[in-house]
Amino acid sequence: MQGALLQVLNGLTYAAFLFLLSAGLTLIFGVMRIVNFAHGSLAMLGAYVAFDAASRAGGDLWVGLAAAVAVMVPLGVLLEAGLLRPLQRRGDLYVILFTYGLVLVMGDLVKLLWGPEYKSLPRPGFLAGAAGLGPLLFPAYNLMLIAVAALVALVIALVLNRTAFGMRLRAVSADRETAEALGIHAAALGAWVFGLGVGLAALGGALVLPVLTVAPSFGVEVVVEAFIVVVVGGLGNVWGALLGSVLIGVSRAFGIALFPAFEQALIYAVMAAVLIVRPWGLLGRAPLERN
Amino acid sequence: MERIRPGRPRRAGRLAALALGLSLVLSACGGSAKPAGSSTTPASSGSAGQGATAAASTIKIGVLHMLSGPYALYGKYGSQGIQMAVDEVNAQGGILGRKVEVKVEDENGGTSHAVSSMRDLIQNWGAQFIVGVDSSGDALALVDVAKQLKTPMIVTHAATPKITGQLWNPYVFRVTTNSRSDAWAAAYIAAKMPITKWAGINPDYEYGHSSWQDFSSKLKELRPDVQFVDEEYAPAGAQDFSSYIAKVLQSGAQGVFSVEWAGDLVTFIRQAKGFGFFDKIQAFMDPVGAAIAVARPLGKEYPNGLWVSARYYFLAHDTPANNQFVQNYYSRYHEYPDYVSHEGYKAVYMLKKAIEAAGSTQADAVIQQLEGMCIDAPEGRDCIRAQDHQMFKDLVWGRSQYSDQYGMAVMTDMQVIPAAQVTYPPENKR
Repeated sequence: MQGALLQVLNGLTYAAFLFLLSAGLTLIFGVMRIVNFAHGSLAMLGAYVAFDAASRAGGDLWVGLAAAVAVMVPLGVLLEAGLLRPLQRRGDLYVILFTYGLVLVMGDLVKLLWGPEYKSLPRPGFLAGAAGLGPLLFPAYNLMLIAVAALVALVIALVLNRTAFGMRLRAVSADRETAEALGIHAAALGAWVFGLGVGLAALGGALVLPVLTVAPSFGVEVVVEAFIVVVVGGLGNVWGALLGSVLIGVSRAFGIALFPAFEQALIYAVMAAVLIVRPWGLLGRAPLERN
Repeated sequence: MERIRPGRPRRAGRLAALALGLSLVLSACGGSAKPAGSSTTPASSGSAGQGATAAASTIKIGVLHMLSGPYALYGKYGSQGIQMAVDEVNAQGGILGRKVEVKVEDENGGTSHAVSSMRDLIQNWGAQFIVGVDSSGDALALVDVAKQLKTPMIVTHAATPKITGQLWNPYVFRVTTNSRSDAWAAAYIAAKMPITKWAGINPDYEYGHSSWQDFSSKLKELRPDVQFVDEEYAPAGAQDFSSYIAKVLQSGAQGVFSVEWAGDLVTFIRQAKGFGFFDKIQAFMDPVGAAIAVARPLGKEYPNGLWVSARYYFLAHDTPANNQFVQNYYSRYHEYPDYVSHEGYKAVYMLKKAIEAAGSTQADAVIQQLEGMCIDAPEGRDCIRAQDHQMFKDLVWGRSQYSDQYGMAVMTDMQVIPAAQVTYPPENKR
């Protein structure tokens, strides 16, 4: 029983990271119809920025977090407005190849700037140890990660459901053409969404620095799992990303505990099973037909 | 009204399929760059080692190391050691009056990439010798390339016993300790501990599985009363070890043996600390835990009191030769030599000695000299066993302790497991 609870918490910790990554990925897809391969690499760049800033401030994680968001959000906005939008007029394939190219460029860029060493940060003092949950000991930092992801989900829910900006986002995401016919300027929303998505990814990358190690290959490693989460949850759906993160995170933890030999195949099996039953993902809908 | 029309993929579906497809490509090639076609003419087909007839100007050493990915720090340290030795050799007039040239290729990106990089080094660039190789998985395939292209390969890092065992061929040499010797040394130390319940947490490939096998069988032989309560294997490059950590803690193990290395070990140690792992476990042992490539990134976070070793340790030999080596290395690179640095450095000097004794770079003549050859390396006298080209040497273990002087954890209470205890009879058929 205790073991099971521990694995649930382990799964949720990983799900928290996956959610921060996939929430932006799925929002960007929903609103802009962009498959952003570079999402993991942008999270990685955020992590390196956080590492750099934190190291200058004597290893203070909070300084790093602030720096990562402050640098990466404007970078995301610029990237969208300056490079992605002109390319998108040429077609989807250009955008996909461009984001794919960004992956390679950013991998080399961080290696050039920060070297090939794995980077990480110490946990902030008061979160360094284990927290007691009844008889259970669990890393305090991991509990904080779960709380931050839950908070981010809550904020996204409020923005999407309670603000005019959120309403426009939902409208474009649900039916871009009708939304545009109603006077919503979808392209202008794009820069905001891209900036926000990149900000979330950077936050995720920076927050896992004390738990994981970040190396120039980090972007590629995480983007595959983020895509699995997004596809399982339903492309373009934030709640799908949340559900997908929890499902993948927890099944991974139990996979290790119960079927260690199949652990790596397990998340692919979960994805396959979900897609057989629901081809558009857990919360995804088939695109509207218009002929 | 929503309606799904099967057989007519829509934009979203196409994009998702493309996304998944491309991410598979990405994960397969790991973003590694392939060198452009070389301008030099290919060396006489498949026999680059035939330098005897060619009035060649330089001696070419091709180096394969991990320059990217989670193990990249080892590639950096290994290449540094090799480059330093080559520069020293060239400053002294080269080998047989010829300058030595080095080209380093990235081994990262999967075994097929490593194989084509090695072929490229030999066939296009004209490498007469190959030095380096970090991954055991890659090494298993590369030994065949060495044989096909008749090019001596000196392995300085990859530790699987197989390449000097069942997969051995005359072109393969290893000038460092292999994982069996490492695991046996750990077993000798573990056998003295008042601990009966052991568990393992190891990388899920050749190196991890064979190391656990060697450790547990040796320990059982030395201490029949021990029990093995749990055996975990985490994928290479695993980002999240917490589920494995939780399982080992639940198993009631008192001692844990691990051969996790590089970035994986850094990740593992950080996460395990969060669970209070090193307080609950009485002994944690890792034969490559004293690597600079682990101690430096962890800094003050490295737990004290872990049982660790490295295949060469810069503080373990207070001799003029070693002190000079450490000092030269430090003044050049501003860091202390890791074990791969030392082994790469040593490999270049072994090649020099063998080529000079053979009077040529001809592969068979050099191989003959290398077999059974001894050299005075910075760490002391090292010899290659003639039968299987494997090196056995004393192994130094100690306990980790953070040091302000070095700015990282170093080994203290060092003790030596003599080479004789970790030497096993040659396995290959000659």
